[in-house]
Amino acid sequence: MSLTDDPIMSERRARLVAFYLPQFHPIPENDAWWGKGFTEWTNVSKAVPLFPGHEQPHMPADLGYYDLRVPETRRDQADLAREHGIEAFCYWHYWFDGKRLLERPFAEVLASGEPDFPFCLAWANETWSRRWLGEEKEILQKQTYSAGDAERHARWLVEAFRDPRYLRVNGRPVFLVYRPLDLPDGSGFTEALRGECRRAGLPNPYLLGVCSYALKDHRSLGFDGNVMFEPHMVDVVPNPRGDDGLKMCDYTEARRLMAERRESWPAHPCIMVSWDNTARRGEHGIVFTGATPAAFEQGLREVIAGVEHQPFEERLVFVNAWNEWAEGNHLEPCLRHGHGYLDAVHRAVK
Amino acid sequence: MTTRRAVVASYCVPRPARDSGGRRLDDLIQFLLGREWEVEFVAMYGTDKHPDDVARLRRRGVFVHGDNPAWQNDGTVEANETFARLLDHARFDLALLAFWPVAEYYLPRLRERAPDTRIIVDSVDLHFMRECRRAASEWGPDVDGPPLPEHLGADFTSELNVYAAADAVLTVSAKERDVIHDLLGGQATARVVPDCETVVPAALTLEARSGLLFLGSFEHPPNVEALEFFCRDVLPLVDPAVLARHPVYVVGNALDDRLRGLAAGNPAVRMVGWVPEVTPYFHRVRASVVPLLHGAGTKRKMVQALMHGTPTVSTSIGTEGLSLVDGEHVLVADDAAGLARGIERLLTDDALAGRLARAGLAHVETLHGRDTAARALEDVVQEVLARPAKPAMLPVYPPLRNLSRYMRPKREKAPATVRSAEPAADSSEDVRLIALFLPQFHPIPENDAWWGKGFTEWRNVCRAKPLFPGHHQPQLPTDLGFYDLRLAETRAAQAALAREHGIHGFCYYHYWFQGRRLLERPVNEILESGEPDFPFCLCWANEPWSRRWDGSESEVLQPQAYSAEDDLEHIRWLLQPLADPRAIRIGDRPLFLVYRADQLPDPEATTDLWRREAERAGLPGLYLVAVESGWDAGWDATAVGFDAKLLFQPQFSLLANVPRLDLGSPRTRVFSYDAAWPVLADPPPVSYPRFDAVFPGWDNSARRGEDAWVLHGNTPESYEQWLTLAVRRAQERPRGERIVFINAWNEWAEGAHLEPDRTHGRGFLEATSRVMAAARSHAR
Repeated sequence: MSLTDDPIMSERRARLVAFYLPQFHPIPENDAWWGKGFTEWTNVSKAVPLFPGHEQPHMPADLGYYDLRVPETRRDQADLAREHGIEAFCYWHYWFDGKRLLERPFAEVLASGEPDFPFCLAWANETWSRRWLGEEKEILQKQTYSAGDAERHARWLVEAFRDPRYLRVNGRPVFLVYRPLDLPDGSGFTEALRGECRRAGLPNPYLLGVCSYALKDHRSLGFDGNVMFEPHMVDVVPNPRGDDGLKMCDYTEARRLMAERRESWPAHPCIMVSWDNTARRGEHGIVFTGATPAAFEQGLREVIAGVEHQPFEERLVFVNAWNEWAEGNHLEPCLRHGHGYLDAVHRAVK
Repeated sequence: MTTRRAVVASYCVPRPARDSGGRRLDDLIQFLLGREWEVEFVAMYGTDKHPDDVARLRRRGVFVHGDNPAWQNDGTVEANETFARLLDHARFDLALLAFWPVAEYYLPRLRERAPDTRIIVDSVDLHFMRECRRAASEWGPDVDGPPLPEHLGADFTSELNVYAAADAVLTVSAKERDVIHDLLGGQATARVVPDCETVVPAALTLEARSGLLFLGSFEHPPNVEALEFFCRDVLPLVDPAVLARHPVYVVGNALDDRLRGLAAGNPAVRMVGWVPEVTPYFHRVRASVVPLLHGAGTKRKMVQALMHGTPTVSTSIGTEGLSLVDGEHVLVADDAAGLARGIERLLTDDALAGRLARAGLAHVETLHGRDTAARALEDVVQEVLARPAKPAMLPVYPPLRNLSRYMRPKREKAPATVRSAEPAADSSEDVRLIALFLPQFHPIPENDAWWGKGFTEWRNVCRAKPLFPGHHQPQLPTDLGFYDLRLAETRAAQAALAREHGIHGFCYYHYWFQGRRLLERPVNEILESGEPDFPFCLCWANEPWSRRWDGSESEVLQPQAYSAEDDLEHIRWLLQPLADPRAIRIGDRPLFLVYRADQLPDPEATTDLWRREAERAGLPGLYLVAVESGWDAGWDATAVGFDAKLLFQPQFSLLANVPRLDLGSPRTRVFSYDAAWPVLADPPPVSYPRFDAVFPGWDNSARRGEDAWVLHGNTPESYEQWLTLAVRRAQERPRGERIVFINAWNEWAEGAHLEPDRTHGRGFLEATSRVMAAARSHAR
């Protein structure tokens, strides 16, 4: 059954896909790098208010301080998302020359067939590093590329694409690359992926390059399209990662500044829910004030309106994020807003 | 003091050298004489057949009377005057009637002529149970099959009527006592007086002994059946080479020619027959075998074997009622191959045989020592003397319920992990640390409804704020993170962390509200999965749940209620965790705690019922601990059936003697941990046994905000001093009771956690390790 035949899905104005961070369970690498027991909650819970009215720490409501190894948690997340009109999760996928990190939640979703909720993958092809104040960057996990790895990666991805829950556009499995320009041979990578799908008897994949840092049309690298990622921070803050104190901007104003810089080539839109990364960056973080469910709903309505001229299949709208708690950026219910953001999604997409 | 006089009746005078029932009766008479009773004995079938035994009894000052009622063909009986004259010439305070048919005859006559005489009937073993089992074995495995043969039904009713009419019934085991209570309800008072034996150490070491002993009186049909089974089915499966070194001695009364012929042709079998004294055989043989297929009661030959330090292989019928554990005290097998294999193992494996002999002796010495039995009888006697005698024999027709449950002996569960050949004697000497464990680290629908969706303990923990400069809040986890107890890996990681740091086990809080359990999932999964393989006990947190977290007034979310039916349902649920191989035991009794014992409306009835049910299920009893909180400080719960108390910490009342620190709001009670612990560690002494508890920290501001109690400035070092003191005190307690509780493993919202946090890391765990290491070296 195609999605447009689904009475519930066809009532929606767009196809919402929420980015999903799997860093909510301990892994040996994080134990070694950040201390035993580290998960995203470690940062989330230690945040403190830095100015009067600063809403920190963000505290989870319905799902609690969850652990993604628990199948019930993954089920509850999918139920919440589905009930509020989100079509799919886009799981961040970490692949380092065959080594995956934080792979367990998705591996279990894939193997168990649960939750029965659509998904796609986005390759977060970035080197992991850490930097203490005033010190050199230390590489924790280097991102590397090779032709052989592209083949191997493609073979692994095809197994995920086969899953009946895998998100498709016009029958084609959707796959994102976060930093396409980092690929030494972008065309080689996309070709490897398409070739592997062909051999496996799968439809040609729908490959999207994420406009995350440099704004570029990735179709020249063999991609089918782009995702205009949000936030595109340099449009708002000259030095987003600078150790130069707290950086603040109004949420709606920040979104307006980012929109001004948009290029004209086609891209699927993305909207951030809110932003406050002081849980990670402390007093050097970035806080978008005035980020409320109402402001988000207004923004989402506009984004959706911008895709409604397209066929339904192609009306992908990415929401950043389902659960980026340490960026203060989550649809998941928190004690302050409850279901506010989810309800906003529901109203906007109906 | 006026002399107390008892009349004792049985079929004949006790013949202790001949059979187990005779030994038992002889002991009971001896106990009465030892308590300065004047004893007269009536032998229902006369005295002329056993002059030696009559003489022996008379030498001990017992008057012996021979009765001889004439039984008619129609089943009626014509009494002679012997018994009536006896009752006319003396007033008896007590009658002790052995075996129910004897009692059936004498009991109405006593009630008629001596209505004040208290009557105790010794069941010896429950005949109906033995008979039913025999009948059931003929039906095959379908024990719910045809109705009982008519004569059994009639006998069964008569037997029960006798027990109901007596002022008390003696049984040899808790199991049989419970069967009687089960069938007769409040109409019978059954009490256990175990068979007893004295320890007779053997001169030869096990290695130097040879042979296998089969002992039994062959007047007793189950022994005949056992010998037939043994010779026909078991012996041919035993390695002849082993038997060549270890002859089989068949010893017992009434070994007739037919029985002697059972093993004809097998040179290894010596048909000995009756011997005046069995001890030399127990001392000479390397092992004994009890292949009984039917029976009831406890098997004296089993007790004797263990008392002589003779390792034994038996069917489960043979071990019934003795709380013996396969592989620990005896070897148990119910088929011929298993018995044969067990015999070979005992005859060839020195380490195994030695271990079983030691453990079996220690076990049976406690349960079946002469003092134990004598005290048990005295208790029953005092009990019946304190009550009026029952008015007259009332006919009782008990409903014949499904008897199948009484027919199959319950096999004691073997520990899942086979203990090493040499149980580490040293480690059992060590003090055991038990950390209290809160399961509220996973969402449940009730908490969702009461506190908001997604509520777990972490919500309170993360919401805490510092109330004064230097206040250690919020306390946030490191190593185990914001875990979810639905996850087996988290539970495994906790146990590994605890074990690495010298914690013996966890005490999981258990929430039971009239059959409704809350936060039960972690414990359920631990029970079902067998993981983690880490000792545990349960503490019934029996307070109602309210909106204030401390059990005081305010809105009640989950009320608590009590009833006898619920006590029963509760213990039946508890049997699984109590019987779990990981269950923490004191001695051999599994440990169970009640948080607010003072709230039980009838604690004596509750503990009684629990113990009865536990024993019926084959457990060797329960070790019940009442937690002592501020509400019931000084109350002696051992008077109402508990074994001991646990002094919970902090004892807030003791903090009155500690200067309060002027920190935070006036509503917040802040004390220095360093100043508080020596006061908390020194409570007023009590007369009852009480375990100690220590805590690494206390700060319930995560739950109570400004109304919190805070013990400020806790450090691993000061905790280490307190724990060291508590462990040292525990080392002075009796073996098995050397336990210190730690509050808590993970009470994060009360600031009481050994689990690592961001401030202290593993500091408190490492301090715990150091204390235990020091205690071990101190003990050696």
